[in-house]
Amino acid sequence: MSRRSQPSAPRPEMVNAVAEMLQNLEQISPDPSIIGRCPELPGVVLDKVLATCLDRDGDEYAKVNRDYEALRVDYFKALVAHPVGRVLALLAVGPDGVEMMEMGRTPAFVREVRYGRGTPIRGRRDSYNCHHIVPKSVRPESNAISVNHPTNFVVAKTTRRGRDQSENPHHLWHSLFLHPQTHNAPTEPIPVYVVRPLFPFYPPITQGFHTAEELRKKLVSLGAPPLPEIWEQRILEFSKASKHRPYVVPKEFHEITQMFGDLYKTQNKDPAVNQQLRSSLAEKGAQLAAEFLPAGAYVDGKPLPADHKPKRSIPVIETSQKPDPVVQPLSTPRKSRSTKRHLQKPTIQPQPTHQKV
Amino acid sequence: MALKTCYLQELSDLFVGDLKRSQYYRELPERERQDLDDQIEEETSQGHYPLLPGGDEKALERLSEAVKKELSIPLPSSFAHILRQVDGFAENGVSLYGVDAEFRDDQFDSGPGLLAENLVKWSNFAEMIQKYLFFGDSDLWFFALELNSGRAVALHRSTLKPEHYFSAVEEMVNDMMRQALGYFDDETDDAEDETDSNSTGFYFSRS
Repeated sequence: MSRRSQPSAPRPEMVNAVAEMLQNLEQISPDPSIIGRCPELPGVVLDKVLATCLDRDGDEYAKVNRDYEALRVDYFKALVAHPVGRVLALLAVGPDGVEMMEMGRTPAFVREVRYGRGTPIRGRRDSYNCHHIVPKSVRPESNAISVNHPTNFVVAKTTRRGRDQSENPHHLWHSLFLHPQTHNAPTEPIPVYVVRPLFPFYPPITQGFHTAEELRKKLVSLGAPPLPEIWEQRILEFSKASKHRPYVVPKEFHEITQMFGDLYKTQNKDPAVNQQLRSSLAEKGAQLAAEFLPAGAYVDGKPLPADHKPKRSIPVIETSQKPDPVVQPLSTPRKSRSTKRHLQKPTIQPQPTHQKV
Repeated sequence: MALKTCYLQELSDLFVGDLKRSQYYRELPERERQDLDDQIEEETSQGHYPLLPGGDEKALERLSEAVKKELSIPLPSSFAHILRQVDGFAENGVSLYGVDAEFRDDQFDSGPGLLAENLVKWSNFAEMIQKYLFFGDSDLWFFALELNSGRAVALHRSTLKPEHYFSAVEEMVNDMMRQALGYFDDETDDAEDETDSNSTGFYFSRS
């Protein structure tokens, strides 16, 4: 039976977990200027996690996955039930998106519909995914980190317009940061730098706001109360960093795609050249990742040397966690095997350590 | 094996419901709104799935030529067969890639295109070149065809390692629709599709 035929309020445990997630985000830095510190990636930090990259781990993976599927619906409901979470949701995904999240669905909203004589109706929607900050294929050394806790989720935009991935930061995080670090990773624990947005939604806004008054006016038009000061300032800083326009992934990160097109079209017949192309692209991807990652980070299975200096400045934090079981998977027929496992609540005690560039 | 019509119907109903609740629809001039309602009604009466159309032959032909030219592989007939029935969708974090907008007569961009998504993924995940043809994605997975074996597979989104093989592309797309609709239990609740009850299934909880 579809979950949509079973409307329900979020469980108190999830409501509390969402409140904790928002509080943790606030505690990462009281200084709103952290938002614009990396102009290419506003509103995100890299979070250093000591972890093992899993290859194939059927049982454990399936277990984590079941937990996630059951929790996501509850998470969305709890996020838009939280007074601050709801206002942030309104700004990021609009009233239509909030309504979908109230039903436990991943937000989306209709942009345009087209049809014609003999042409069926098609719709264009802005779409989002629930992204895991620490990927599910990574096992943190600290048992306190649960990949299925709201602290590990961000609702990220995934809208795609053909080859244009400028509205798909989710893809950027995977291709620029996660894949280069987990590909060919050694079997022992390594530091993995994950992208941690400082908002529960990314991008957090769909339009620019020059002033607090402008932002408050927008919220009034949405029937929402003003945001607490820390969130208001973060939104304004994000708007400033994205030049008061809807955020788009910078063009320079599409360079690899362009390189592929240029090479592949002319050389794709020859398997040997194909292999060379794979190597060239992998190397290019690794170079790009290394522009952001600090010394010691693994790229394509090798650590960046101790004297490595990243070209780009992105804030780095290192979270520490302590075990504190709090959110259990929802009770569903599928959940019977997994309810023994109490998901642990990671309590972030952030220690921002900005890179020396 | 066929696509489950109950899932197609439910997705279409969902999209129509979303549209009618949307700000976009509410702000349409009354006449345009009425035209749209009429079109939905007409497509429904003809047994189609409004807002979940199949791909047309001309567009599929153009896509097939472009895939051959740009990826140096033929468009698998199983993919073309699926696209005739459902030309892509994006719901609940699950995307099924459709015919790229540039190959349709009206060039209307209604979601991720199969060629564009493969170009992007092959360029960003170089080890995937000519190994997998991507057909969709979700929060957790990439859905693809393993080109050397012809098997449909779910790959880890972050490691790109195979996690589960399907018995057929249709089974994979049926599973994608299940996830899009929020069915995460093992129960088969669609009596009309009982013919598929011997399928191996894939709800990620099975090893």
